[in-house]
Amino acid sequence: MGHLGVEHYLFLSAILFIIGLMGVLVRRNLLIIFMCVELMMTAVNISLVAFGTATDTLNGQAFVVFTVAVAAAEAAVGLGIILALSRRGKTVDVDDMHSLRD
Amino acid sequence: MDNFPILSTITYLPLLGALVIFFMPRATRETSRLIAVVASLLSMIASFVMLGAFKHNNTFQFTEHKTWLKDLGVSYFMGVDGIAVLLIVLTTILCAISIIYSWDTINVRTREYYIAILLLETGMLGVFMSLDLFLFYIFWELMLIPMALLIGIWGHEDRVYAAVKFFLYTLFGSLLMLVAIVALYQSYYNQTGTHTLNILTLQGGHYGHIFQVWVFAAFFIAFAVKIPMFPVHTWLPDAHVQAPTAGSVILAAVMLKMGGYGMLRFSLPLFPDGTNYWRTFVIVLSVIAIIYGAFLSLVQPDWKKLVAYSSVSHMGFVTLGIFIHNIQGMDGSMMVMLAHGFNTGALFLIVGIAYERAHTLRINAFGGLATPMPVWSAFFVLFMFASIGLPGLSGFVGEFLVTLGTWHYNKVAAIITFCVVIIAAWYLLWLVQRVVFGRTIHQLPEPGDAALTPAERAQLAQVGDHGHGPVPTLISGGSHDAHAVPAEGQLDSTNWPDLSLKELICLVPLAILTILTGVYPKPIFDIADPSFHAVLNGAMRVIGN
Amino acid sequence: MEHYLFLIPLLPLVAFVINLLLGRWVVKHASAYIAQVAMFGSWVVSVLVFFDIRGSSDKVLEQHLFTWIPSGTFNVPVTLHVDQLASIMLLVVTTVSTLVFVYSKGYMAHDGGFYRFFAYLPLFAFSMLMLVLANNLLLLYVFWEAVGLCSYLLIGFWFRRRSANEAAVKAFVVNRVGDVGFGLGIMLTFWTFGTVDFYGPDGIFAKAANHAALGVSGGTMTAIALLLFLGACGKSAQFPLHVWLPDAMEGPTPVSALIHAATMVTAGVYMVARTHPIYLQSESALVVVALIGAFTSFLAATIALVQYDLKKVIAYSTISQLGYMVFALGTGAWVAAIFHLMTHAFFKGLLFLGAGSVMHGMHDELDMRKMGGLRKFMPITFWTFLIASFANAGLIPFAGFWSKDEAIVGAWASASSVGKLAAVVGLITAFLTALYMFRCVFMTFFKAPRFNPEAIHPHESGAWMAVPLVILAVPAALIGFIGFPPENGPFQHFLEPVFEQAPAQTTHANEQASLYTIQEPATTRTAIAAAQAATATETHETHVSTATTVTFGIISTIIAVSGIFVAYLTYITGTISATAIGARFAPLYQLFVNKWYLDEIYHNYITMPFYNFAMFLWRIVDVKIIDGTVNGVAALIGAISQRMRTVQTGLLANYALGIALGMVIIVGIYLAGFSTLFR
Repeated sequence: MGHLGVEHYLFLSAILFIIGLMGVLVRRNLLIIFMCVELMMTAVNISLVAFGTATDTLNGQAFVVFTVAVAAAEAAVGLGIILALSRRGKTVDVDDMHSLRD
Repeated sequence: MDNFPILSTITYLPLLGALVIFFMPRATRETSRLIAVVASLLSMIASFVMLGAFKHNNTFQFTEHKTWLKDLGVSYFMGVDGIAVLLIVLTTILCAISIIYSWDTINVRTREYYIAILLLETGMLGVFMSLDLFLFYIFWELMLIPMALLIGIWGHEDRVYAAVKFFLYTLFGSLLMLVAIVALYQSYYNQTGTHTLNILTLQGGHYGHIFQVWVFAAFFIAFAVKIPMFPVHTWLPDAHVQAPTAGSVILAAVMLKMGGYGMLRFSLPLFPDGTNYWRTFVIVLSVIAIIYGAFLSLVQPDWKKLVAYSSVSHMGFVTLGIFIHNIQGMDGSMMVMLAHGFNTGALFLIVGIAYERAHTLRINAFGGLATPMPVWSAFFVLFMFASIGLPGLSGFVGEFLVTLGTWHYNKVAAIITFCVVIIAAWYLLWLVQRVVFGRTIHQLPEPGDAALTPAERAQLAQVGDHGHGPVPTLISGGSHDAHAVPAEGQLDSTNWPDLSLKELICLVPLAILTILTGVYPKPIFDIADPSFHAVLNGAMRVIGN
Repeated sequence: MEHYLFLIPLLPLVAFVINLLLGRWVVKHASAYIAQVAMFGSWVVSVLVFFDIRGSSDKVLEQHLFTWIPSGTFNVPVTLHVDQLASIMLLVVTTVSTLVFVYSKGYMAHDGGFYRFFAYLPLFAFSMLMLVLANNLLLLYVFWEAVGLCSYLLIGFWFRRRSANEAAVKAFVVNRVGDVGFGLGIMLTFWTFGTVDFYGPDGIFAKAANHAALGVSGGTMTAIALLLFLGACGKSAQFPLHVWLPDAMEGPTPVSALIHAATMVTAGVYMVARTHPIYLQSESALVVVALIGAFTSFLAATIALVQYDLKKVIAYSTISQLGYMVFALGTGAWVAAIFHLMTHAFFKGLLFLGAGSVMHGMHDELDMRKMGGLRKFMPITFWTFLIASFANAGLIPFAGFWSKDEAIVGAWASASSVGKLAAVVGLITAFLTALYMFRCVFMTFFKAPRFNPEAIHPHESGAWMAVPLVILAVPAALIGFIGFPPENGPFQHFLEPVFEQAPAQTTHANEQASLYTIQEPATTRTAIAAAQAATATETHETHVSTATTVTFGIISTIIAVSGIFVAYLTYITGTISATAIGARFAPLYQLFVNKWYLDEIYHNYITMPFYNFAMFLWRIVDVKIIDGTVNGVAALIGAISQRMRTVQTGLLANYALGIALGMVIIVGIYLAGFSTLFR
């Protein structure tokens, strides 16, 4: 071993992604789900940077800059929505939010 | 005059009216209806100008050709021949009448109502003028939505059901047509390497037999739904019953003609093989529709449904006339289309006028209306006779010519078709007998009536010696008595007013038209015949008889 | 004269338009004068036309107005055509119309629908005159239906009476059945001969005479003839389409006189006479015509015997007399048919007007059992009614005698295989006619009054009604003499040009010639003479000898007198008891009283099955099957969507899992199928 290849980063990214996915699937708290989505995003960023390094171009890194920016915007909007929801419904449990279903 | 875009003027005047109403801040009921009436009347006058300038030959006239989407071969191409020109005039007249009729009958969402009806008019006019399939399809769909809105918003109790049914039925047909248009477009491209949707150019293509059979079927279903032919007619009674009066008039008088027009403009010239293949089938369906509509009219308890089913019967004559492929049939189907426009349009107005007073459409709610509403009754009887094909009124010429042409094609079909005039007389005369004649609920039975029930005799005896008195005043409504027992379910029509000025304005032009076209239909033949000969020559190439 | 033909129908049309549009508000009671003046003007023109026509032997007037339908080769002009036949019809129609218009002024004076009545009547006169003037089949058909419209409007004139409305609808619908036959006949004619014009070298008559040369089979000719005759059956109330006419008596009495006795119902006879060149080509069609006519005359007479309603008796009498005309047509006695048509128009019109006068005096009473002794109360009505009854019963020298006798003799002497049968039926019916007519006269005008003289005061009608009665009585009594001597009078000679046969060139020449020559024993044209020469023996047989004519005259006089005598014995002296005879022959009596059960049969076996079938089509086929399918498809899609809907739980986790699984599947498929990663 010794040398860190691109596959190591991909493994890390995959593990992070799965952790995030599982969090989204099983948790009920909207805030946690949101954080898990951020985690998945981070996983994707890691693989992008890894690919960028591996192919010796800056494409991956450039992408990451964009995704981070988008993630920041998303976090702002998403947290705003969650805040609004929690104020309105006194809860952030997703199972209780189904007023659009019926 | 030569370069003046008269067709666009006719088509977009109503649209312009709609836009004015739409953008005018705080357009009230009064202003919007005024704008609508003016726009439709201007459009009507423009269409008269067009009719006057129309030359009696088989070319397309007043054409306007502008390239639109060049790469797709789509162009803005309008033009009229002898077939379209008559239907355009029918459309503008009937739309103007419908809008005038709505003057004081529409009281909710008036602004939106007039926008919808004007858009509808633009759509219908555009359909009759488009010579480019892309343009045609746009107009075809454009008229669908306002009509569905008219039924769904300003209709009667079950309006949403009827509107949805109408919309889905028609959309089903037009989507099949869209597929067919794309197939046609592709096929022509494969042959020539040219992208075009120009109908006249497309007619020059050579399409395989199988291709024609299928594409014809797709077009045909779209038109058959509109006409409507048996067995895809069931949206019509529902739509008519629920639609507001003006909607019913436009639906019956103009929209049903789209199907017949489409067949004449597309099915026959583009797919002679396909026409030939399906011809017997269509003729059988038409004959079934003629009989079936008549039979169903006979047993309807609802007045508008009765007229709606009679439309199915009449429109059967149109398809029959188109597909028997002789000039008598073609002329006849054009005459039936026009006559049906006048007569059934007028009958729906007549029904609507009665509805304004009674707020019901049950036939047995009416009776003896000749006493309170004599002028209305006179119009009703006139249009009733025009509708059952009394010679000298418009209905006869078309039905007779279609049957005459059918005789040449198949004697049995002609005999069956012609026998329907008996049933037509039966159901319409019976309707008039129940609604117009007889007595109102405050009138005493006639002593001279041989068909009195025992209850009526007892009633007469109770009231006094009417049976032995001097000759009773039979008509003048003399024996008005509070003791009279109302017939089952009959409404009190004593105070119903006769026709108002507005209603007269709507009915008189139609009465004049139906008498004129019945007595002197020659100008119509002069206009339409060259185009019919052109259509027939194309069809005959294949059939060869 | 040719340029003024249009005035004949135009004048009544103008009166119609004025009275319809302005009658209610402006013209009011003056509407009667407008109609009368228009009708009188029309009469004057008709008389002028008649004298013009009479000037030379085969003069024909034509006036082309405009082209009505030009559709390919189907070209229908509106052209007025007057020949001898039309000229006679014009005179009859305008004369009777004018008199009835005058009479109606008195009869309808107190009716609330006065102006309406005087709008419909000129419309009828216009339509009837156009029918007579038509020069082609389709134009004839147009006004054929138009007179049906007027009949409908006038039968249902008192629209508050349910019975009147039902009668009007029945009349129109039954007539429509006939009209369908007529219309189909026109179509067959057009596709056979390529035209619907009567005359001219390309007209249907010229082509019909040459049909064999044109390759038209005799069967086609028979079909055309029978289809046209179906129309005549409807309009002229022949079995099996006669059921509407008795009910039509619901209309005001002047209408019954004008439309349902004198003019409109004879349109069928006129039409067959007009198209006789077609009938001449088909012996089987003629046989059918003769049989129907003979049967109808007998059937109607039997029903008339047992009716108590004064107008119904006269109505059935009309049907019976129309039967005479029709069997005369069927046996080739064309002139006799038209002759009877003309005399019948006068005396039957008079009978109805007389009946109207009785009704007027009796406060609308129609039941003869509640009359009696009216002779003293209304002498003018009585005497004119008596004259008309003599004419109807066929008593010499009244008008009906000459024409009826000519029809019977014509049938007897004809070459038709059923001619003798028709003649015998005609004689039997003549007895019945005399019997029921005088039953009617005796019950109405003789013996003691059977009404309550306290409540009803019968009185003679005013001058507006009495004068037309007196005027009409003159032709009813005397017009028969224009057909004297029988078979050879001025009337027969006048009509000769119409019924002369075109030079016979077909294989049927012999039989046609013989059929035809009945009417022209003495004065034949060269062409006919040639045909006769070929079949000298046959011609000899069909020649009506003076002996035959006189014999039949004597026989029918005896029959008429005996009929009157039996009526006298029954209803005046009471020697014969009508009730006893009714009881003895109860089944027959019931059959007659119930009008041979035809109304019931039609109702139960035609009307109701149709109605029930329509009900079945609506309730089952339309609502359940067709609309059921449509709504079923919609419901099916709806149901599927309902199921699918549960997939949308609204739980975020479920959606996320769905996304994840979906991605796994897509990536899996990619890796397994398209990628080289695991290969």
